[in-house]
Amino acid sequence: MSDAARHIRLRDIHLRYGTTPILDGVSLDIASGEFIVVVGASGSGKTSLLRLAAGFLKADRGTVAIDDAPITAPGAERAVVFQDDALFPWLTVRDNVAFPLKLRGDRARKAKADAQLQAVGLEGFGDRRLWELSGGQRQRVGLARALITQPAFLLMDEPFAALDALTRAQMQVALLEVWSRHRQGVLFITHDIDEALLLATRVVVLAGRPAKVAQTIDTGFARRVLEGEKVRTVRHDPAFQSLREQILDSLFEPAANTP
Amino acid sequence: MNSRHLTRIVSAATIAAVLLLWWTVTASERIDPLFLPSPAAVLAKFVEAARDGYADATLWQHLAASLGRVFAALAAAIVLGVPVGMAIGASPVGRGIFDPLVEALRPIPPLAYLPLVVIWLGIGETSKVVVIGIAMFAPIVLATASGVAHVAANRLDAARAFGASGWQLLIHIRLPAALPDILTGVRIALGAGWTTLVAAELVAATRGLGFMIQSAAQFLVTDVVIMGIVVIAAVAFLFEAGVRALERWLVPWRGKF
Ligand SMILES: Nc1ncnc2c1ncn2[C@@H]1O[C@H](COP(=O)(O)OP(=O)(O)OP(=O)(O)O)[C@@H](O)[C@H]1O
Ligand SMILES: [Mg+2]
Repeated sequence: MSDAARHIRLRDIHLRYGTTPILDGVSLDIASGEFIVVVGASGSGKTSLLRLAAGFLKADRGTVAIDDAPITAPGAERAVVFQDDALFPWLTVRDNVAFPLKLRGDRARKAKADAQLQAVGLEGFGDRRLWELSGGQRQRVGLARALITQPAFLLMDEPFAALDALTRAQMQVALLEVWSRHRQGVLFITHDIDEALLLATRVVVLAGRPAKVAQTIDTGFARRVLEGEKVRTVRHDPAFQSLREQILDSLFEPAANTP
Repeated sequence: MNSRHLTRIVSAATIAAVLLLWWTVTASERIDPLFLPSPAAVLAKFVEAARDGYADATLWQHLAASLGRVFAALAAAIVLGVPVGMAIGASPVGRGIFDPLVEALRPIPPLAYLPLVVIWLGIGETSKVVVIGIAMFAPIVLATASGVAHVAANRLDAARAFGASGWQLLIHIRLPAALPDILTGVRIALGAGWTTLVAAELVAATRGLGFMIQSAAQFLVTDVVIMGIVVIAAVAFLFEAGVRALERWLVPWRGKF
């Protein structure tokens, strides 16, 4: 990756399904090294926003661009981690992780996959089959598969939503460590406000039907976690608590833009 | 006791009951053996046919001839049917071309096109394999098409996100994801194949289980007819077990995802 920061820019996005407007003028920037977390109520359009950035979906109005070039299709520099793991059960763990490299005909893919498995804490799991893994281990496989092409951006749709609280906490720290090493630009979607505050460099709150950006909050709790501070202490910080309240308020305040 | 064991025990008991009933009915000697020979007579015929043969060939030669036809037909049906099924399931153009053809072919009973195939291809081995193959073709095409068309959207999205081309999606995602359905299609096709075999061997065959049954029936050798039927049933059962084993080996994720 070059030194110059890369950007994904969503500008004034309008999106509707049929006649139902979903997104109403949403703008969002993701630069290298930024960890953008989008929170919003269920059905508010978070997944749609991520699918726009991934190139699976086209906006009705507005622009989606990467480094000033319009995004029209999925691309290798933007890796996606899905809400459910979307792994391939006919492949072993190693071959799942190596899959993006297989598409390119990379012959060193098995060794690279093993290295990537090690990086996400799954050393020695390469020959296992998916049904022999726990939910948390499967999400690690999904993360390893997304990381193996060394993408500039990670687009993650509630990757930890199905995990128990303990596993989720471990995965959050694991993800922060990966991110602090490689400084990808991250777009991370969640329902969980604590998760948002803990991981983000910036929290973006979607609210209203159709959804607008109700609030943007720059935070620095992730750095403190990375520097070794206990997640529990960070969470009990009054600053954390008050931001939490602030986000809750903006999530549930009656939307000003309902028709 | 788990439910699988229970099913097996009940199945074994059912077969034993049918054999017992058969034996009782024939042992009472109130039925002419011409209509229903005893189990012992059928077993004796089995030994005799295996050792000395019937209708100029041993039982094993008849069996080998039939197996050869069914396997050749299955191979042809898979080699042609899977790509056609993939075309129907994955491409609107492919669906437009092949769907009407397959749908038109599917409901025709094999006996109806048998004469035509004989006119075109003669009475040799090819026409028999072709008739059996046509009967096996549609189930494999339809199962493949359905499997290829109904791949979980998120798996396709994941592969697309990593830059998979249309072909790569087809080969690396749609095909393996459809494997469980394809094997189901193979099972149905084998059933259709065995059904068609006897009809195909009506025409100028000199060997084959179907031929053996036909020629025995002409001379009212009922014990050979029943013996042939039992052999076909046993072979079909073994095939089914074989495909299931293949399933466990090829699609171990079935039912888990
Ligand atoms: N393909 C589609 N066709 C029609 N409506 C859709 C489609 N996909 C999503 N929607 C609708 O658009 C709205 C936003 O969906 P989206 O999946 O983006 O929400 P979300 O914020 O990700 O929700 P969740 O938190 O439950 O995952 C929902 O009301 C949903 O019903
Ligand atoms: Mg969603």
